[in-house]
Amino acid sequence: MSKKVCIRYNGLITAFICLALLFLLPLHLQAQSSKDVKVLKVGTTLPLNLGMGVETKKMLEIIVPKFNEAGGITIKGQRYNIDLIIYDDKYSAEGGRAAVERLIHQDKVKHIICQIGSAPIVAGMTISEQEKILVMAGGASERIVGPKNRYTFGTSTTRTSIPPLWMMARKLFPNAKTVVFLSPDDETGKARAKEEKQVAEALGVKVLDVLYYPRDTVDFSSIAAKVKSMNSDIVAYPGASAGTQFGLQLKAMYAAGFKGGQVSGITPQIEEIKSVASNEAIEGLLCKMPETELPSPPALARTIKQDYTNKYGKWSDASLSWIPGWYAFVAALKKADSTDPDVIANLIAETGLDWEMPNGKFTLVKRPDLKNSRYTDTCAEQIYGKFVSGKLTYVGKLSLDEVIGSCEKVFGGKWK
Amino acid sequence: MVYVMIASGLILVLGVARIFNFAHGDFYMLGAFATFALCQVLHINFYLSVVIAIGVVALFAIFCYRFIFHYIRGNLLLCAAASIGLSMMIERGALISFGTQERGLPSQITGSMTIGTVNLPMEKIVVILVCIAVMVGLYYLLMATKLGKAMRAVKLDTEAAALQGINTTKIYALAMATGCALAGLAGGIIAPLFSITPHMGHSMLLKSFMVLIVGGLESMLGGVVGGLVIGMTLSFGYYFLGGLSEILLFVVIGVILVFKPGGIFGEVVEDV
Repeated sequence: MSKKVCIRYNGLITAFICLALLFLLPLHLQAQSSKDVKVLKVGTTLPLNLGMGVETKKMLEIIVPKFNEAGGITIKGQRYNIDLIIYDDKYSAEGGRAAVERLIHQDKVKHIICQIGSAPIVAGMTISEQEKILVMAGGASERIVGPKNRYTFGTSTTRTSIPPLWMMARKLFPNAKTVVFLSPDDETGKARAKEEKQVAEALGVKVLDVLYYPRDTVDFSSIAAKVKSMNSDIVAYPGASAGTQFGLQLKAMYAAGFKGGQVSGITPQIEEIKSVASNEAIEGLLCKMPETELPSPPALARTIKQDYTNKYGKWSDASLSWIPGWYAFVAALKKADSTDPDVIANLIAETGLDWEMPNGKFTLVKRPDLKNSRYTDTCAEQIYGKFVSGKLTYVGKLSLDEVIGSCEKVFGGKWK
Repeated sequence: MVYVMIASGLILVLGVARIFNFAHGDFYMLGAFATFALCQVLHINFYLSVVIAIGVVALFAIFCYRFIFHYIRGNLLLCAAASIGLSMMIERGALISFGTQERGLPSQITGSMTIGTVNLPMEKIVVILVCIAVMVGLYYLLMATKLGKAMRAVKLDTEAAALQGINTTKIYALAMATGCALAGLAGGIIAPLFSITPHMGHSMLLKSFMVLIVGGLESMLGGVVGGLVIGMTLSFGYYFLGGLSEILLFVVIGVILVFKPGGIFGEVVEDV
């Protein structure tokens, strides 16, 4: 082979190698970068037999992938994407325990977030506390924020939203002297009714009776007739489901001829309620109002509403109620700069935690009234609305300090 | 009255076709979902939707009879087991088609009537009237029509009825269709009153069985009286006893069974 031909071959081979490197380098870099991102498995159990569970799932399926697409979270220099595993707990203790067992033993998760029902949370807690799993749950039961728990935190405002709600109710119904509670006869209903009774009495409203009903009740006519016969000034619905069943209660109360004030601590699922109850039946109901429903919502609320509408076609305000656990979890990971449940739990229990989500500002608080001096429960800004001609209209807003102040006034002790 | 209507359908299926239908509550649920789908998805008038829903449920019942129960008819235990399987399939189907969320229809009739100190919503009064009319119609069907007479004949003695030229297979299928259509009608007219879920048939089936036990297993009149006893005990029981009304219900059933072990209008069947 002549020298000239050999040089030409060498040139071709070099060019080929350069080209190959040019193509392979980005692939290698991509592979390297995806190798650098670890996956953090996080679990949740939701009542997928109820609208609130389905809506929460739908919302989590938007915000978690969006969080991962935005780069996930970096802890001690290591990037993590979140892999959220969702199981159905059927809003029952048995379902909750089975789902939590599966998450811990089968999926090996170390963090559980956004559970809704008190019964599944309390049932699952017996295992999660023992296995040192960080739980940032919703729920209403005081047992979730009890002093014996080390790894469980209540990130919903159900326990702390009652004093501010009743302060607002006193403003709206200044002459009201008596109230009747309608509550489901389960863990959530009993816990909420007990707390709401304490709050109402502390604010000078006499509780005539607490009427319990099975969670799957659909016919409220006899209950409504009983409430009507008691002639109370207000009827309140501690622990009620936010959707169709709540609508059926309002409808039955209206049909029974009840004309007093109506108060609810939950953020109602307006679409579901209106599918069974007329505008007249829901007129005047005082309840929580999500920031997304404000005439000019903040940017975070606007974005999330847009994302949800883009994916599912129609906005559901119920999707926001039970996701504070997600935002609290992300804030806790950032604050602790660790994924270790022990490190996170100890840090936030001792120093507290603040976070912001589309429903406003949230903070962890102590519960001295429950003999718990650790930061374990949650307070949040509260916005209230009442139904006027079938539309939820703004009534007022209580700041974080006002909410904490109202809780301290009713339950006692220093919460922050 | 809704319990009466559903229990009557159950009695008809049990009495004539000899099928202990555990899927009866699911036919009730199917009627509610069919009405909901026709009203909300296809935007058909509510009353027309109920009529179509009854037809859909009746056709589905005939289909179920022809392809499931026809082959095992006569074996009460096998029929019961098959109906449990059918119940699971219908419920799963509803879950897949409609999801787990509760659904509801707006009230079709507004206003209320005051009797003494009690307000009665007009829509409930209309439901009661419809149930009474349907029960009268069912009585007429069974007592005065050729089909009804054939059903009673088949119930009394299948072989003798067949020898008289009655097509028993057709009568079984029609009894199944009529019984299930009653459940479908109940589901349809109840849709604007209560919420609709894939599990709504369970509690209704349980209460229908209670009606059967109280009234007597195969007695139509027993179904009517049993339905009224159960309905009244639950409604008035809650008013006076609150959450204890369920206990009262079992006390009432217990007392009735002590004095009438076969139910109010039933017969005691003793094993030999």
